[in-house]
Amino acid sequence: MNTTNRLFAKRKALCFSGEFLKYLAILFIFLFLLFPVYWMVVTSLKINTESYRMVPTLWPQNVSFEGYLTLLKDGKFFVYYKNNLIISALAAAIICFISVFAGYALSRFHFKWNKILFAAFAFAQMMPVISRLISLYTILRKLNLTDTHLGLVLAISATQVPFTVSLMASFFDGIPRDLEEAASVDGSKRLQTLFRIIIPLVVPGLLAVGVYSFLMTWDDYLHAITLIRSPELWTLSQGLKLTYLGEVSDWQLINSASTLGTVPMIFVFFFFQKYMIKGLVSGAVKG
Amino acid sequence: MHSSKTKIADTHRLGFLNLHSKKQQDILFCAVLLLPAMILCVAFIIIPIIDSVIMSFTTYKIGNLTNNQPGEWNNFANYIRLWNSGKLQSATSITVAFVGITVALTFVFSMTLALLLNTKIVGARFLRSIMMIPWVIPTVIAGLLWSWIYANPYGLLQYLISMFTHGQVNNFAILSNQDTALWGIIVAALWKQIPLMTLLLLSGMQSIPDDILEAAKIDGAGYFTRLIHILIPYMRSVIAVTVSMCIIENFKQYPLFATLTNGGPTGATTTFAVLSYDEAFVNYNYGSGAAVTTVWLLLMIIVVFIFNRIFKKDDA
Amino acid sequence: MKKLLAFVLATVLAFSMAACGGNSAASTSTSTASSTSASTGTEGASAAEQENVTLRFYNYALSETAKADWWENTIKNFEAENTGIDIETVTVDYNSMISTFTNDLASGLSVDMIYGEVNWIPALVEGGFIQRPSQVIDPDFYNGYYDYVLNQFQYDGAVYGVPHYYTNSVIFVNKDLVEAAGLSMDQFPTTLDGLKQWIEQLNEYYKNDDSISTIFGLTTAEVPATGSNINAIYTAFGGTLINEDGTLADITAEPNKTAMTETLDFYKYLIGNGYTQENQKLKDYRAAFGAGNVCMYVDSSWGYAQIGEVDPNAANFTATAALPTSMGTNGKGSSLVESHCFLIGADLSDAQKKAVNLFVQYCTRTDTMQEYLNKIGLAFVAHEGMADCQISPILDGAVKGVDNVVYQPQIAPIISVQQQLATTVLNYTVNGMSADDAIADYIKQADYYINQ
Repeated sequence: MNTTNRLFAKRKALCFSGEFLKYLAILFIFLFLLFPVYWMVVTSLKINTESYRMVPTLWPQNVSFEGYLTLLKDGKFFVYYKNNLIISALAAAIICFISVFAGYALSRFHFKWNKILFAAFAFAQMMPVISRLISLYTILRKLNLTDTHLGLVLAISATQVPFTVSLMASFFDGIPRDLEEAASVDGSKRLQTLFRIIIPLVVPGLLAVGVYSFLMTWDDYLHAITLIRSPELWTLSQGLKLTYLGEVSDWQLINSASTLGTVPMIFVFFFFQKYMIKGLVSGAVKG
Repeated sequence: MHSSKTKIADTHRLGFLNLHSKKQQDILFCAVLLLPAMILCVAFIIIPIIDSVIMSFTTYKIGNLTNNQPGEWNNFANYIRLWNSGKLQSATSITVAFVGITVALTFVFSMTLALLLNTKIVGARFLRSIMMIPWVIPTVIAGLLWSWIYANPYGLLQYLISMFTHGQVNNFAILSNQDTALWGIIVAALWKQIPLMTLLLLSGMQSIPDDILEAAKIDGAGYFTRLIHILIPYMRSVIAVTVSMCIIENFKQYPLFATLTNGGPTGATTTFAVLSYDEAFVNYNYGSGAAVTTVWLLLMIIVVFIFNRIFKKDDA
Repeated sequence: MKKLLAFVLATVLAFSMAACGGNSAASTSTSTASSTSASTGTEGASAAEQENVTLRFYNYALSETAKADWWENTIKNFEAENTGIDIETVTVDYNSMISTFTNDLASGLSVDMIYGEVNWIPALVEGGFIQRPSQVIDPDFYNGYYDYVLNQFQYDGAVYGVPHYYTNSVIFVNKDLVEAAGLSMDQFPTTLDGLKQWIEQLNEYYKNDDSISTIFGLTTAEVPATGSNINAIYTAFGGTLINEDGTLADITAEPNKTAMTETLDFYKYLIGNGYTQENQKLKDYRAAFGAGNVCMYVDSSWGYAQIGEVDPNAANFTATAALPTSMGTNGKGSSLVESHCFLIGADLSDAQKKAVNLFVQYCTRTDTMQEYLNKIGLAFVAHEGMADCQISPILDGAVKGVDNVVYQPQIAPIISVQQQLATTVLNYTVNGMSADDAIADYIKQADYYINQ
């Protein structure tokens, strides 16, 4: 065997072990990312005395749907669900509406104060929620909007708008200007051009913003517990924390509720992921 | 769809715009488009923030809230009291440690995973989809899920540790020990944040023209040389955006702390978020809580500013 | 695509507007109801029997299923017995109560009655939400409350709540596990040394048994419930945390210093030897006890509710005992009284006062409470009118300690100060601080909370 041949073999072996290491690393990271989810689902199928065992079982000895049945029976869970759906959908709609216009304005008109605006949006994006809770609450009270879904929707929309406006602006940046320049002669045509020519081009971006804000507002917890009081208006995270977590340690129930709270989000994501990934990536990455 | 009639109506409605110069028209049009976003941000973010900064210099208790009375100026008493108790300093170092470690590790793991997924592997698309599951799980649920894994003595983690150490370490309760509790939260935060960052980095990677990488390969550049001299410089803007998003996200983190440790044990995980919540909503000292958030905000602005500065400087 | 999107947006908007609108309509109707009730109030008490009175009742227990069912039934029965009184219930929890009450009062909804915990009192008094029950409750009935239970509701020199029931510190014992180790519940130790002997004997017996996680559980997690639990142990060792005049007791003076040192040593003994885990919450022990993995642990009597949730047949193996009557140098094993209580809204019309009075009395009656005290939240009666109420046999052992109780008045930062005790214990037991340093740290932090 000559040297080149041997080198080649060595390289092949190296390559093979490299491949092996690569898959091993992927396996490890995915185990870390997905096993907790599996564990949640499995615990939701175990009766409590099995969960409280010193040696955990990988698969329930007797599959029990009791946790899910309890949730189905008391019905409260679905009220929270419905509320959260309304809130997130409405917030997503408002966010899309607002950020389309603002994003367009920021992308197309370059005034002195554009920079300040961008900075203000970046600043607003950084605000921790807790610091705003008390005055937010006072403001909404003055508007008579505490303990209403509308108040909550406006408050959580405001938290997402700074980011989504910048995101939309970067989508508009990607659309050649000459398309509208020809058309925009006077003010009357501007809105028309915007609606008929420009917005259709950013629909993928709009969808990305919509799905992103839906998922992000679904995650809200602090706003809800501060602004919403009536149990019939509670959101999912709030309801989970206040109803199933008090002094109770029914892990089957908690994990059942968590599973039910997670699954639809996963479907929403899978269904829209094409738009979301493309949109979010091209927006965030360019911006 | 648009009849000429509506066109005329439009012109009529916006007719006054024609009286002004193009520049003024632009400004007006722009202002109208920006108005909703501005109103929302000013009403629900900017005003509350200013309000809270003002509150931090006053004595503001339950009575003020219930009677709708403004607080009384107290000569920085909130800040002094927090500083003298050492709570402010400890919250600063814990927050900085949490953000620093979490962001660094998220970046390292996400970059690794993105690099792995960017190679020719079986089922890359599928992996990329299911990878996102932790990201779509609401944070409160993520907190619950990890608190069950960490539970003592029935949690999965303590069992695994005891199994791998052959019974040397029993009852390992990561959240019960002041040296490890922060790590428990960091792991949960990593789990939640790695997917999105991986996705963004991966997309940034895929936007690098293939021929550049190919050319480098032919030049005989090794893997790590290519990584450091071509890939990373190319992805600079992606990295800058994702990392600064990650910094902000972790600075603001509260639900994970609330569900996992609530600031304990012995204050080892009391970040700004936990401290301000406790001051305002457990001890009902709203002025003091506002003082914490003001410091928190300042620190965050400084960190993000420095980060952006560093990245800008490298650009030149 | 655009059309579809527009359609979806429009539908969503319409849908949620309808949802929001429905809600606001509901809240206006309730506010008119309360305003009519306020106007009837001026017509005097006799009119109240015919006219409708509405009480808005804020109840934390509604978030726990078993308790919520009981309250629902009780309220229904009460309303049937007292026509014209309408009770509107609202769930409220500790962390959001102030904003809830502030908000409701501002939007014209009155806060008439609250069911909560003793340590809510300071915040509610500061906010001006509640008034003294002696101004509302029938004097004859009011005098029937046991003084040692009633006195814990003192804040700023006045009593601000009335108890529903009370508990002392209860040791829950798994009698199957104890008997298997050759010990008998009849000879439950009455001294600390005797208790330690039991603990060591049980530990010896179960040291190779993986299914036993805890020999003698004490909670040390830094949460409010743990704070009062540790305070109770410290009290049992003869210490005082809050003086009767509502000031912070000097922990460096005797007998407090000895009591605190002995308390810390007891925790160190338990944690250091692995008889108890550090940083466990009460709910962790309740669940583990229900699963049969705990020999003994200390809790309030109503902790049994969660034990029963894990294993509905837990009554078969659950027994209770009182704390030993001799603990350390000065300790008499006295328990700190704990209660759930009724708090009465500050701004009530005469008719509403009458209705509150009726309701509190209704809820403090043997026939109303019999089932509750036996099945839902095990506890002892706090009113002499219920003296013949039967108490759950599970509490047979704990009943020996019901007279050996002391009370502590409330101070504004009570929750944080008590919670600081958990930090102190952890500092001494697991963080390696000396007792003096741990106590000095406690004093510093407690001062921080007091001086705000």
